[in-house]
This record gives sequence, C-alpha cells and structure tokens, in this order.
Amino acid sequence: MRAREPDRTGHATAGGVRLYWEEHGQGDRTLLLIPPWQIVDSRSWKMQIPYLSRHARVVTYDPAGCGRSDRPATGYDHDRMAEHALAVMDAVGAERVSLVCLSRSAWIGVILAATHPARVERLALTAVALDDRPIVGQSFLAPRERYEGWEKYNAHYWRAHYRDFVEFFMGQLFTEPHSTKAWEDGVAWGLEVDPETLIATVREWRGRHTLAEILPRVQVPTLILHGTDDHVRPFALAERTHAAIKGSRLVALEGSGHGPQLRDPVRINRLLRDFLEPGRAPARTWRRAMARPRRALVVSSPIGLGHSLRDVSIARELRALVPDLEIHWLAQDPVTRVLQARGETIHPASRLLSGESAHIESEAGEHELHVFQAWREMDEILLANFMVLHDLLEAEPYDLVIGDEAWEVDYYLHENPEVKRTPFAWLTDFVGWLPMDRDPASREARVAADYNAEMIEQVERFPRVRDLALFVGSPADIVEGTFGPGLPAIRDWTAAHYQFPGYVLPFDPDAFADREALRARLGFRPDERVVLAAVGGTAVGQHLLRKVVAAAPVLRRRVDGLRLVVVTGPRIDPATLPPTPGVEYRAFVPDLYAHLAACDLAIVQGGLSTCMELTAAGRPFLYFPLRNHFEQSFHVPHRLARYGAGVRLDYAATDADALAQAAADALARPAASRPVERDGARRAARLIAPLLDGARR
Amino acid sequence: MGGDEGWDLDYYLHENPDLKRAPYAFLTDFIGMLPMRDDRTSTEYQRCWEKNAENVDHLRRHPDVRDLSIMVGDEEDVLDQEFGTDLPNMREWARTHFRFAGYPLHFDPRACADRAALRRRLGYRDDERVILVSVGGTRAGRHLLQKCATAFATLAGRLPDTRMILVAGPRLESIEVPPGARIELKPFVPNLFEHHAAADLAIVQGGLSTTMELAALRTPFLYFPLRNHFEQQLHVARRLSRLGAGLRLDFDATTAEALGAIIADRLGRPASWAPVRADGTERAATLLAGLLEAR
Repeated sequence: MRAREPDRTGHATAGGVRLYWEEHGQGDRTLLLIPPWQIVDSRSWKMQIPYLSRHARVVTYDPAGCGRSDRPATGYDHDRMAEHALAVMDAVGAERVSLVCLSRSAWIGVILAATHPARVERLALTAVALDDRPIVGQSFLAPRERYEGWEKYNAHYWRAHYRDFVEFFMGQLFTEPHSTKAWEDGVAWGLEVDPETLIATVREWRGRHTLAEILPRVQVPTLILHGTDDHVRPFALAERTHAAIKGSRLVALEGSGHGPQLRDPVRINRLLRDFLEPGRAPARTWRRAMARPRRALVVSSPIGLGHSLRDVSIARELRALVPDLEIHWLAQDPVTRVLQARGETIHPASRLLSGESAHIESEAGEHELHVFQAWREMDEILLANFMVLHDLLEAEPYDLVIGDEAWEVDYYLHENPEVKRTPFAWLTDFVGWLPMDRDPASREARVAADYNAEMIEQVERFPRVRDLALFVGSPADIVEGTFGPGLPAIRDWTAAHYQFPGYVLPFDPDAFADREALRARLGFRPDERVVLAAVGGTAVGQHLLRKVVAAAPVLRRRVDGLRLVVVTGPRIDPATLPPTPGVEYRAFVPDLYAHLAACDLAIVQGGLSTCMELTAAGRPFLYFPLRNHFEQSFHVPHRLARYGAGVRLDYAATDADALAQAAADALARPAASRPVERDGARRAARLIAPLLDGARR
Repeated sequence: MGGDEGWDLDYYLHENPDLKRAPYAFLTDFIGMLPMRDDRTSTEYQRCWEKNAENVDHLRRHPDVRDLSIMVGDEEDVLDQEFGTDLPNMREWARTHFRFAGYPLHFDPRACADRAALRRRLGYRDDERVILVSVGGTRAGRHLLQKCATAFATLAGRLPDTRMILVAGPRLESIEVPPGARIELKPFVPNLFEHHAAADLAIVQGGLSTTMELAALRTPFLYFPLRNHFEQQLHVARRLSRLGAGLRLDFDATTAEALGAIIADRLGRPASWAPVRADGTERAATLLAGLLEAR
C-alpha cells in the first residue's frame, strides 16, 4: 500500500492527451513534482510525497507515455512536455508553483522557469539530465553487432530484450550498495511501459531551445542536487548547469547515484523542504535544557500487538526507576487502543503516521503472509513514518527514543546518523532476516542476506546509533545458522551486539495463578473445557478462525464439555465470521492474557507474544505459523522448542478432524513447559534507565 | 568528537544537548574544582561549589552527552572527599562516571633507557652533573628561574663538575646570571623529555605533564606548585605524593640559600619511587576506539 492516498485526482488535457494527476495535502505553496523519463512514472516520488505534503500542497502527474496517462505514438519533445506540465498546473488551479524535477524533467523545469517566470516560484533540479548531445542517431536506431553495457540503449535491443534493458538500466541508476528494493521497484515500473512508447520518447528527445540559450534565462531561485557516483548522467552536467544558472546553488551528493530521491530520501526531503520553504519561522518556545522535563518517546511496532504490551510493562518499570520520567508514545492503531486502555499518553503526531497494519493485511493471503516481502514493500510507509519522528524530535526535545522493532527508526538513523539528536534504545525479539526459500541461490535468499549484511555494516560502522540494543529473550533464543553466505553466525554476532533482559511478559503470571477465580471472573464454569481461538492484532488471522469455527462440530464430539470461544481481535469484525451454534465470539479484549491463562487449550497463530504468554501461563496450545512468515516459521518455533511449549501444526495440512484430534490429545496431556522468566521488564528497564539518568550509571 | 579538558565544548553541549551530532569523549586529568582555602563561607568556595554542582547536574540530567569520560589517571588520583556541601564524594562519583586510563605519556620511556648514550648525544659529559630548570610557558616562571640561578651561584663552589641549565623560553633577557657561575641560559630545547631523562636533577613548577614525565623517567626533581593554582596545589601534588615522586617545595617559603642546600642534598640521589605504568596512552586509545567500532 501507499504511505498516503491522494486527496484529489483528475486528468488534465493538453493537445488531446489526457494526463493523470494527483494532489496531496494543502497549503499556500504548491509543489509540482515532475517525474523523469517515461521509464518510470510519478511513483518515483513516493518517498517525497508523504513528507512534503505535510508542509505544502504537492501535485504530481504521470507524464504522457506512462502511468495512468495517455500513451500517444508521438509528441514527446521538450516543449510539448513543458506544455503538459502547464496543463496540469491549470487543471489543479495552481497559478504559481515550485517545480521539483528529476533527471530528464529538468528540461521541463528550465523551459518553464525561463519562458513562464511568473508561474514558477522556485526550481529544484535533481540528478539533472541537461545535455544537448543527441542521444538519438545511428547508435540508438541502427542495429548493433553486440549489446554489451550501454550498447543496450538501442531501439532494436529494446524490441527484442526489453526486460534485460530495463534491468540493466536500473542497475546503472542505483549504484549504491544494498539497492535491491529500489532496483526491483524500478524494474517493475519500467516493465509497465511498452518499448515502442519509450523509443518514441527517445527519438523525439529535442526541443526549440538549446541549453546555452535557455539556462541563462532562468532567474528563479534554483537548487541543483546531483550524485557524484551518478552512472547515468555525470556530475559534470550539474556543474555546467550550476555555472549557467546565475545564483543557483549546487549540492554534491557524494557517493549517490542517479536516484537519490529513493536511496537517500531523508537527506533529499530535508534539502527540498529547506529550499522550497524558505524563511521558516523558528519555534515559538524554547526551554533551557537543564529545565526540561525528562521525557522518553516510545515507538512500538504495530505489527504484532505483543510489542506494545511488553513496552507498556517496560515503561511501567522505567517510571518506577526514574520517577520524574514522562513517557509519550508515537503509535498507530491497534497499538493506540492498547495504550488508551492503559492510560498511556499518545503523542498527537501519531495521527500523521501511515498505516502499517493495513499494509500488512493487504499483503496477506489465506493464512499466508510473506512477511519479509511485505515489510520490504512497506518502504515508503516506513520512510514516511521516520520523517514524522524526525520532525517531531526536531521540534520537541526528548531524552530517549525507545524503538521496539521500530525498523524505520533504526534503519534511517544508521543511514543518516547526523540527524540523530536523542539517545536511542533498540529492542527486538529476533535478529536475522531468514528466507523462506532455503535454496541459498534463490533471489529471496540473496536479498535476505543482503539485508542482513547491510544491517551488520550499519551497526559496525555507526556503533553510536544504538545506545542500547536489547534482545527480548536469552542468548539461547537466538536461532542457529548464519546471516548468509560469508556472513557471521547469527547467534555469535547477536550475543556480541545485544544485551539480554530475558523474555518480557506483559503481566505477572502469579496474578493469574488462581485459575478458579479467574475463570469465574471471565464466566468460565469449572466443568467446562474452554478452547480459546485467538489471532492477535491484525486481520490476517481470520482464515484460521474460520477453520476453527468449521471444525466446531467435530471438536464438540471429541471434547466433552467443550466451550469454544473465538477472540477476533481489534481488526476483525465478528459479524464477518459465520454465526455457528456453540461458537462464542468475543471482539477485542484488552486483557487477552487473562483469557489465555484461564482457558484449557488455546489455538493460535505462530506469533511470539501470544505463544509465550501461553507458555508462561502453563497452558497447552496448538499454533499455526503463517505460511511464508519467516519469524513465525523459524524464530518463534526455535524459542518454543527451547521452552518445550506448544504443538506446531501446519494450516494447509490440518483439516477439521486433524484439528480436533490434536486438540483432544493436547487436552489429555498436561503442559510441561519450562518456566518463563518473570523479571524481563524490570531487567530491561534497569538497562534503559542509565540512558535517562546519569545518577544510574 | 574528543575534548581534552575542552570545558567549553563540554559545558555548551550539556546546555544544548540537541546540538550534539557525533559521539563525544571527554578527557580530564583532574576531577573537582577546589577552593584554595577550605572556608565554606568564602566566595571562592561558593563559586567552586556552584561549578561542581552544575557539572554533577549536567551529567545526571543529560547522560547522553558524553559517550565516554576518561580520567587520565587512576581512581586514587581523585581526591577522596566531597565536591562540596551536599555534593557527592569525588572519588566515588568518578568511579561511576569515568573510565580510568592511567597516565598517558607522550613518549616511550624505554627510548631513554640508555642514559649514557643519551647524555653523549645531548652533550652532557659522563663526569659532570647537570641540573635542569624549566618553567613551562607562562610568565610565572621567571621568579623561579631567578631563584634557582641565585641558589646555584651560592653553592657552585661546593659542587665542582656541576652545571645548571635554565630553559628560560622568551624570558631569557630578564634573568640575571651571577658572574662565574656555571649556568647556561637556553631559550628552548627540543625534546625536553630527553634532557629530563639525562639530567641529574630537575627543578620545575607543579604542572602535571612535566612532573609525571619526570616521575616516569625516574629523575630526581623538585617542584614548586604555583600559588593559588588549585590543580597544581591539590590535584597534582596528591598524585605525586601517592607515587612518592619528587620533592614539593613552596616558592615563598624556600629561600635561595635553603634551595641551594636542598639541591646539594638531592643531586644525584636515585629515584626512590616505584616505576610508573607507561600504558596510559594505549588504554585511553582502546577506550576511544570503542566509540568508533561496534561493541
């Protein structure tokens, strides 16, 4: 899913060509983000739109030839493209805009700035492709003897081997290490364009103006951003443009390639905002550092409600250790419901966050979630949410950021360590992206290893980013194996780079030791055998619930005194499940663990928190890891096996009879798992407290 | 960033922690601003108290500012007394807030082990004894140089085969050298530590670097802490007395005659103190490297 849906969309028409545009946000200023060459469309601005649209009205459009705009056979010269941009401005009612251009659309920018100065306020040129040299000619149109490297930039080659060209070209675009996701995006976008249209855009790559004539006519404030490692358009082009546009400012992005807006979005967003929004007023108040209240901000992953529950426990312990501490939460649904139920303070900027749960649900199939890929597809959401945190920390001083699997915070702080202004404590319950495809030569295995390698490089290069790294568990909970070919052993590396507070339970199991009283409170009779099905915080689990409901008649025959309770969680409406006699639906219960501790048998997914809560409560349970979910398939079972807890079942291979059989067997067998440590939250808080209070060092 | 007694950096980073953009290591060779007189009603005491209290507060309230605090010395080099009324004990506080690197020498004392060769190279004869007087870079040293020159003149007759070298810096002109005395004035000597290693007696002020250098080289020395200089009077003196190195003298209380007698007594008397550990530089570097590499 996108980080942000447009507030308004429409089509502009220019010379009979329909151009799809989108409008995001509002404000006195309008920014027109113009995509580059038609090989990609307006999605190339996906990392900028959510951020810039919080500060201005942002308009973007798909140029003729790609995306949701018309794809005429001809009409792709610079001047026509500039007229199209004007048509979009007219359609959205923008008299005057700032233009943000990328690569080839720099031509549109300089033409409009020179010929329509009244309509252009400022001009930002990124990875400029301003070059008079004709690319078209024999080299492009005539067949070649061979097609190596840039020789693939050829009409004949495109007609025969378009995908290979696109893959090659995107490889040239993203020269930075670890660019797999940007490359995949670029290839996918490029393949949506047909080669004939793309050939036309190259063949007609010309216009009325020469650079020598047009550039000196640009009078508006101009910013030029260009990578020094740009393999598509050399940095010298940016220097030439800078020299020709009087008063322009050139920023060299050292080590960046031709797609810095995707690969270095934090820096690009900052540069663009500072340039496009000049004269921003400073904050109206400033409090002396030594007079500031002590404040921590918790960023808790919404993917799996267990994160927020354990974070609430840690927060409680932390407040006991640092009494004057204020804790605020930057969180989204459904975490906010957990927090509200516990009286925690939710920071108002939370409403600016893009939804991660909805994205994960959109990526899920029937009891299936390729969570690694789903997470990778979430890149624009993660960046958008990092920028929310970035702005928040710039405006309000905090003493500590606690990120529980807050991947965006950890990743973008390592990518931009200079924006770190607050100590950072990082928590996770697993380390290592593990491919579901166990063939090490598979694309998935190579990409997972690349992510692991990047993470290791980040942590080793910038040890200061994580002031504290906590593994929620014990060293023995770390899986065996390596991060990938030639990479360290996961267990050794994690043991060396993390501290281990033990598992963090969100409750004290002793409080639920009196099961009779607990059952009485929840309305479970002593003679009933309560089988509880629950699926956590997202809607992904609805298929498992349906399977359990469908098995209800068989279960009833196999289990005397059965009472089947189905907890649907915060994001599944019980009304969407089939009403079945003898099945009791409960919607979101804020104290799920009370139900878990009170039941006789639980049926759950393979999420860590729920399984560990059942283990701590000493309850028997059946768990069904989501298919293709590496964490539930590898990390969690490894840990549960260590505790000797739960029975793992495969969703696809388990029919109603098998489910009923497994339930009956588990009910007949006493649970005999190892006890779960109870002081994890306190130990975690003790490790975190010294970051807040120097007296605790 | 590293700040070796970079008080400005340290203070303003604590006052503006949001300006910090890089890991920061603070180094110091003393802990605690101390009044010269222990009069708790004095303005000086109150000023010291305020500075110490502010420093303690800074570290308690913004523990993230310093990624590392290194004490250039050992735990015992920190005074075992409170920072001031109602403030923590300095040594205990240092124990929880600092890492101790030992003393870092800027040279390897082993390079000076062959004393005979060193003396030959520096032009000191085997059969003569050399007294080296040096006073660092401030004006305050002129009086000490003069006093040493006068003292030596009074006893030069009694100490044949002995000469005094005054490393006088830019104050060369203003020193009166009594006629006939075997006194040489030098504006500057390169690698002073080599002269210190080769000399038979050194006379210095109470600065930490010079005195620790002499302690490590095991050359007998007399030192005169500057009056009202709390660091030289209290912190450095404490360190040296812990080592048992050097003889502390008070400038005002020591007449030229008395100084002459002390010189005669101490000249050539071998060092009585235990060798000084020479791995401080390495230990400090290891601690600092931890900020640059993954833990």
